[in-house]
Order: sequence, then structure tokens, then C-alpha cells
Amino acid sequence: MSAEIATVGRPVPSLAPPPPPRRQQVLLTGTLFAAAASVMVFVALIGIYLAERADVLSSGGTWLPDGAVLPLTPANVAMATLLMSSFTVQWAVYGIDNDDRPSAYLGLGLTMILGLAFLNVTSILYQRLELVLADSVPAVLIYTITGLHMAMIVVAAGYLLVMAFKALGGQFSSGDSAGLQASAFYWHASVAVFALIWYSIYILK
Amino acid sequence: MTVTDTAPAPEAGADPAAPASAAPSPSVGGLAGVVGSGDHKVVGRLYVGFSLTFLLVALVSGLLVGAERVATETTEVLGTDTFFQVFTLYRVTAVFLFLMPLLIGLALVVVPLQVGASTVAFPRAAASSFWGWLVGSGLILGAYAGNGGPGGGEADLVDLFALGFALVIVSLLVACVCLVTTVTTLRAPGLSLKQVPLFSWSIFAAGTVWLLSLPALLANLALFYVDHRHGGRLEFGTNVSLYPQISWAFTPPQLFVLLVPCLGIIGEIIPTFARARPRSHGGAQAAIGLAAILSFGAAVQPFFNAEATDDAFYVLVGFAAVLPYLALLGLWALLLKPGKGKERPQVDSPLHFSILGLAMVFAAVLAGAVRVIDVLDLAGTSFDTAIFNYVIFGGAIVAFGGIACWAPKLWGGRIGEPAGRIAALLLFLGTIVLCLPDLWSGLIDQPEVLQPDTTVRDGVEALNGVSVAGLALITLGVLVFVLGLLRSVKKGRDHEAADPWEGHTLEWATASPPAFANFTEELPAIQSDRPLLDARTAGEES
Repeated sequence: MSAEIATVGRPVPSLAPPPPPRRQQVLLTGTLFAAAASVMVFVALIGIYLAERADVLSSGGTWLPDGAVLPLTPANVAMATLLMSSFTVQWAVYGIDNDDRPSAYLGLGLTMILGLAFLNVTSILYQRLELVLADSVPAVLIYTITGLHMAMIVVAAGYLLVMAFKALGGQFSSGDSAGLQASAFYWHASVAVFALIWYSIYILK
Repeated sequence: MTVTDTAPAPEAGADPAAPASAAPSPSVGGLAGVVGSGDHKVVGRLYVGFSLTFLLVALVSGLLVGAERVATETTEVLGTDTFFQVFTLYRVTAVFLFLMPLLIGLALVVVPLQVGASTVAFPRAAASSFWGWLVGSGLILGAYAGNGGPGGGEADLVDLFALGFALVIVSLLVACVCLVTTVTTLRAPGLSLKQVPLFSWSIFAAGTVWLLSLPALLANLALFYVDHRHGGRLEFGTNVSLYPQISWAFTPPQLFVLLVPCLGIIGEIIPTFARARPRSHGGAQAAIGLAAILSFGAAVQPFFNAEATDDAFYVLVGFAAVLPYLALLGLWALLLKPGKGKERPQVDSPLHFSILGLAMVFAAVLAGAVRVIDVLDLAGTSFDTAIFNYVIFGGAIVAFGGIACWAPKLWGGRIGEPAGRIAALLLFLGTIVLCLPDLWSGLIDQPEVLQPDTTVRDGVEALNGVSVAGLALITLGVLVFVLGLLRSVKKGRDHEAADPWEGHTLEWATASPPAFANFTEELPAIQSDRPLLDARTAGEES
């Protein structure tokens, strides 16, 4: 682009005084659309999982291969961990909205720890999951869905970490917390996705 | 490398739609200025340029597929396996390397200008989306070249195809997020969503449907990749199952999402060139929104549910999809109808492209409605091929009209009238000659994909020969258009008036090509869907 380009702006009708400036909503709105797209990946995968499962069950077969175990305890712990992280991340947003920065930092720190705990519980779950990827269709579906969800959690944690550093750097206040709200929204979306996975895979089996 | 945005990020609490007249222009020039640019106009131009380049790949593969179908008993030109690879290459390239990125590129240039914003939302993400798409496209073509792609013999390259395709989809989705967010949050003061120009509205509607449907394609590719690369290739990961899993993205209703931005382009061009104010902006917005909603196709995946297309709801939606197009056709026909006191339309090439393209778009949705009639059993026949080609080339005609219309904003020039008119006519005739024989041969059961044991009725091979001639005409039309475009670009910029067409919307209120931050003057409150037409009318009355 050249700075020398002539700009012959054309007048447009001024029929009323300009309204007051709007609040910065760009990041929050963009995150909402991105989260919707991310959630739809899992809605599609879970839809395929349930359709395949229904096909097998309606033909009188068993869904999981012989000897396969889907341990409920680690799955429940993972669910509980993520639910707690939803509270802590919202606590961080509440803290910023009330200019209570220590609470915000504590909330963000706890959310990070709970996110790591979730990844740890999932690795334990994988060790107990007696399911070989190459042996069955359910294994392909389960590993794809849970693996992609872990990727979503990592992305959400990275997003939150960036906003946490911004908060530590003095950004965000009660009048301007859109960035933190946006990252918290994406985190909530990843928790909601796990709730769907938890019910469809671990509860329904 | 420095990434240069259209305008600096606004301060917290400031109005993001406010003009950045004092914004410093980027100091980086040449290739580095292009590669490192986050200016929405530069990124949009790159999308347009490269998608037109990939159109040539699509045309060559389409001609090869067509040539193979002239003699259906043998697959002498390509061989059976290669035929399937070239067939899928044509589909993937036409949709994801040509038409969708072309529309997104045009939108990246025009939408921020139309809504009065100084930049697109997330300019660096928009730039990344282009480079991601370009790399993904390269991976797809590289995989095909090395015997990968659906039906390919090299397992590693088939995986590479899946990864490249996923990268292309993610990149296009990122661009959709940028555009949809721009329309939602960066509108000029006073410009409500109800007053947003039809092209921006159509991009908002199509972008939202793409954001909700294309992730399902990512899910299909992920399942394929995991099973093919790491699993036992049991169901999702077999080489022959890849295209059937993703084929829903190349058939109606999902295919019709590509027509939604085309409706927006037509909705801008016809009123401007007819020199008339449309009767119902809200009605047109509602029809475009309905067309987008009825095009959501991720729920209809025959690979997982073979009976999905027999469902009564699916049939109903197939018929209902015609209604918004019919409403818009009526609305625009009224604008073009001569009448007392009406100005004569300005019959320039964008209007030619729009009217001829609209005919092809309407033919596509009508054929889509016929396709859902169960007793005709048309799914999987060359009737699908005809619908696909109607959408791709009908959409291309309209998109070329959009390029011709917004050329002053794209590069500051204009495509020559003779080149524009000849290209529009060739593309229109070519699309008819390409699609009508396929519709007919589909009705008499010619399968979409040739197999070694394919037998067809007498006369079908002759129909296939006519189809190839149609694609050759289209190729000629594309070459004429591209040559006209290159000639105009070569002629240079800064020769074009800010508003050569007497446009109605905000993009015509700035220079051609637009200044660095789009608008150099602060925009007043906008209180109409056609602010420039209002200004002109008010000026004439006073």
C-alpha cells in the first residue's frame, strides 16, 4: 500500500449526531464464533459415535469389543475437575470485574492447575482403557474424540495463559475485561464438550 | 517480518469502527509488504488471485474427467484409479481451492468497506488464514501429484491429503470468523444489522452456516486420518471410504451455501445498475438468511445414514430451498422492469454477469429440488454432476460480476467492457452446454463415477461429448476474463473514480483503491441501508 494514494472521500449524509462509542466486543464475539465451530467438531463426532453404536446395538451386537473396559471413576474425576475449573475461571473474571486482582490471579492459577490435573487424569484413564486402537471401530472413535478434546483443552489453556499474562501485566479492569471473558468463554465451551463426551462415551458406554 | 495491519488496534473503550485517518501507513513495500501484510485489501486480493489460479487446475481436471466419459466402456485416458483421483481433485479444487476462497477474498476486500470499518476484525488472523489456505492447497495438489488423495495408492500421501484438506478448512473457517465478526462488531456508527448491505449480510449468513457445518468435515477427516494412519483401517480409514465420507460437502444442500454470497453480490449489483431503490431490504435479507439456513448439510451424511435422503424432512427442505431464491428473483425482476419515471438501467458487464449468473443459480436450486424426489432415484447419477457444475460455474459467473463491479476497490481499475461481456456470455453458454446433457444423462441413470463395468444407454456418450464442449467454452470464458483482468491490473491504479457506478453503499464513499485505513473522514451516523443513494437523492431535491 502506498501512503501517497489520493483519498477523495465522499460525504455521506449526517442525519443525526454520532452515537456514543461502543464497547470493545470484537474479541468476545470472535471467540464466540470460534468456540461454536470447535463445539461443532465434537457434535459431529459424537453424532457419528452414537449413530455407529445404535447400528451395532440394533443388529444385536455388542458395542465395545470383548475385554474392553471404560473405567468410570477416572472419567468422573475428570468431569469433576473440569466443572471445578469452570468455577475458578469464572471467579477470575468476577475478580477482574470487581477490580479484585488477587482473586483474579488465584482463580486463573487454580484453573491452570485443574487443567493440568485433567490432562493427568485422562492419561491415567488411557492407561486403564483396555482398548486397542487398531482393533475396533469404537476404539478409533473414542481415541479420536478424547484426543481432539485434549487438544481443545490445550488451546483453551494457552488462550487463558495469554490473558493471564496480560492481567499480570496490568491489563483488564472492571470496565474492560473482554479479553479475559473471551478466554473464559472458550474454557467453558471445552468443559461443556467434555460433559457431552462424559455422558455419551463413559455413561452410556 | 513486520505484519502491517490496515489500522492500529483501537484503544480500550474506543469505538473500533471509528476511522483511523491518522493511522500511519506501512513502510514495508514490495514482496515483503505483501507477505507480511495484514491489510484486508491485500489479503483479499491474494485470495482472489490464487483462487483464480486454482480454477485453471479445476478446469484441466474437469476436462480430463469429461474426456474420459466420452467413451464409457473403457477408461483409456486415465485408467480407473486415476479417473477417480482426478474426479475428486476436480471436486475438491472447484469448491475449496476456487469458489469458496474466491468469495471469501472478495468479501475480505469489500465487507469492511461496506460496513464502514477501518479494518477487518483480527487482521493478522485473516492474513494467517490466507497463508494456511495456500500451504494446505499446495499439500493437497502435491499429494495428488504423488498418487495420493482419495483413491490414491501411496498411503502416506493419502494422509498428507487429509492433513492438507484439514488445514484448508481450518484456514477458511478462520477467515469466516474474521468476516462474521467484522459484520457483527465493526459496523459504522448508526449502521444496524438490519441495514447492513446485502453482500455483507450474505457473507454473515453463509459464514455462520460454514462455521457450523464445515467442522463436521474436519471430524470426518480426523476419523479417517486416525484410522488410516494409526488404526486398523476398519471402517473410516479405508482408502475407498474417504470420498464417500466427505461427499456430503459436494452435494446439496451443503453445496448451496456457496450460492448465498452470490445472492448478496447480485443484490448489490442489480439495484445499483438498475438505478433503482429496492422495495424491501429486510425481505431480501430474510430470503438470503433463509437460503443459508436451508443449506445446512452437515446433518445429511449418507455414509453414516444411507436413509437420510429418504427422510420426509429432508425432502421438504429440498423443496423449500427454492422459495427464497424465487422471492429474490421476483424482487430483482421488479427492479429491472421498465416503468414510467424509471431511469434506464446501466447495462455494463457486472449487470450481464449478475443476470446470467442468477439464471444459473436458479437452475441449480431447481435441479436440487428435483433431486430430492425419491422415485426418480437421481442421487449418485450424473444429475449430481450437473447440479455441482451449475453451482460452481453459476457461482463463478456471479463472483466474476462481483470482481468486475468492485474492481475499482480491488485494484483501482476496471475490467474492459468487451472482455467482461464476452466472458459473461461464454461462461453462461458454456454452463448450459455443460450441465443440460448431464441432467439428461442423469435422468437415464448414468452413474456419477465411472467403474470398469459401467454400462450406459445409447446416446449418453454423445451427451458426454457435448458436456466436454461446454467445459471448453467455460475455459475460454475464464481465459478471456482473466486476460481482461490482467490487462486492467497492468494498466495501473489511480485512474478510477471513487464511485464510477453511482453506488448505493459505503464502499463507494472512499477512494479507488481505498486509502490505507479505508476512510479518511470520520463517518457520520448512518441511518439507512443505502446512505449514498440517500445523499444523491437529497442533493437532487435540494
